[in-house]
Amino acid sequence: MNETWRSWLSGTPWLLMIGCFFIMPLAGLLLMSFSGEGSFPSLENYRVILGEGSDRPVVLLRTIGTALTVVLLSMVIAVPAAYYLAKCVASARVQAAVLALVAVTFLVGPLIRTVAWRGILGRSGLVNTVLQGIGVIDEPIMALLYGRPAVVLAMTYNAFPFMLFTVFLAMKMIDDRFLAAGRDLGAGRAGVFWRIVLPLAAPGIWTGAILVFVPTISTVLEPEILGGTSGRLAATEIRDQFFHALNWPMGSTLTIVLIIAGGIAILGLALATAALARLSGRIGIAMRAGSAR
Amino acid sequence: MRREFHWFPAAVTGLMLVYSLLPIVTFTLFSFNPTPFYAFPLTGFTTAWYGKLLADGRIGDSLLASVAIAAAVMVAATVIGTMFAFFVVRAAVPLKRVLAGLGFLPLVVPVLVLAAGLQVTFVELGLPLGFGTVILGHVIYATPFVTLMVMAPLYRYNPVLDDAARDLGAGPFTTLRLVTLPILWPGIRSGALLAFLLSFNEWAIAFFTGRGVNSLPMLVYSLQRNGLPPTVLAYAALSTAVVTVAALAVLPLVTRLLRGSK
Repeated sequence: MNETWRSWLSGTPWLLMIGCFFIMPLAGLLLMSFSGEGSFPSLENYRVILGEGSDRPVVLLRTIGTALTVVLLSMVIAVPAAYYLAKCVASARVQAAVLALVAVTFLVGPLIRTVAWRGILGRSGLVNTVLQGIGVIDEPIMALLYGRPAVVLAMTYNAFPFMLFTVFLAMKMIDDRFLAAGRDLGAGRAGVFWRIVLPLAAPGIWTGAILVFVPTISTVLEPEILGGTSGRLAATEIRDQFFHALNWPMGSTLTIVLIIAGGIAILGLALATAALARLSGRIGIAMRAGSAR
Repeated sequence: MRREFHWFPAAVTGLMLVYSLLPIVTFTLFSFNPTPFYAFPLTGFTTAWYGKLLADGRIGDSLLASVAIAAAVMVAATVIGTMFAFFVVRAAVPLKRVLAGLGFLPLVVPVLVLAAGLQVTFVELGLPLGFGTVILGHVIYATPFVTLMVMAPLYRYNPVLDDAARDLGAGPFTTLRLVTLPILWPGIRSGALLAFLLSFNEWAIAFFTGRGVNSLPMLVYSLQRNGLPPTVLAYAALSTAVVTVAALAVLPLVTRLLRGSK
């Protein structure tokens, strides 16, 4: 059995499946999005969505904005925690235990994870009960549940483990001697973190950001279960076009527009990150020049 | 390196654990509460909801459907995903980087998009929407994760071991069966577990491509719309327990990997 033949044998099953049940469905959505009332290649659906008097662009922007907020919050939680676990805790057993705890809660599944917040944020939920119990408030805060904050909280809850795992692995791979060298050369804890750990972990943070962003722009459950009447998001509209309006071409068009908008947002994120990295590099150089004097 | 105490990242890690556990602890607590609402006060202790859960025929049927789907997905995704990991790590063919990248595309396309696209395709092809289509969709969703899990040990794998086996007279198939796969087994096992759980919990693909398939997430989804009966909380607590047991089974492996990656 020669090498080339074996290579193809290992790759072909999955590549065939990707072709038939991944590329083809996406192509199918694209084709369907061009089918309008009359002639086949028609931009009618796109005109309806993006044209004047449509609230779809607002929904789209809201969706992207919400997802970017979730990415940011995930970073705020996952980057310090991953740093602590990978670089400040010596015991592999403690590291594995904390990660496993997060993984267990993660693998309970997004549906249950989302529903669970009702008992915490509800009128007689945990937060209101505790706050009333210690006398901070007299009346339960109704705005906790059924609104944008609850949706963002649950979305972050459902997505941040992706960020934690990828950033942890990235930081784990950084050689401890780099950190020690930084300290020996006079950098403080914060300096070591900002100028050594963060730049080296950037690819992991970046991967995590994409893995958080992608499911978040397409999730239906959190807005439906916790969103109440707060502004609609794109994924809900897509689901409704397919299942309530039964307008598949419109649903397809919305899906394509969402993918494109998401792609643009990721591109923007990439540019922003690159600019930030260049900026922090410059600051680094400036600091070095300053201390040399 | 001297390990020193960092109060800020330590505090964030603590808060993260609270954030992760709070909802889980809350529904577990309420699954033992006699009052049939997911709200305070806690009025006592009962296991009645668990009894009701086990007596509920719908939940039994859904559990069976979900387990059947997840088991099929696990087998297919593990075999195909492991093979693809070999392709990504070892193949020497033209355009390999492009083809490998293509294989990971499902990771960066939202599940809802995949679900909608699959529904359109299946209907166009005239495939009846049901168990088969849900399994197919879940395999597309779960396989890249299996590949990722197997790729890590495969990159670390020393090809000299294969040569040694061949020198000792083993054919390619025997080498694979007796040397390569046993060494990769921890990664394959974690990948299989992940594939099972991803499929078991998946809602969007089942919703779009499974007419009449009442998997557990679909049932829970319809139950929570009408006020969330406590049996759902009991189910949630039970499934958490199952996942915990599964995680304990792979914990020593994770610890060993973390020690090894220093």
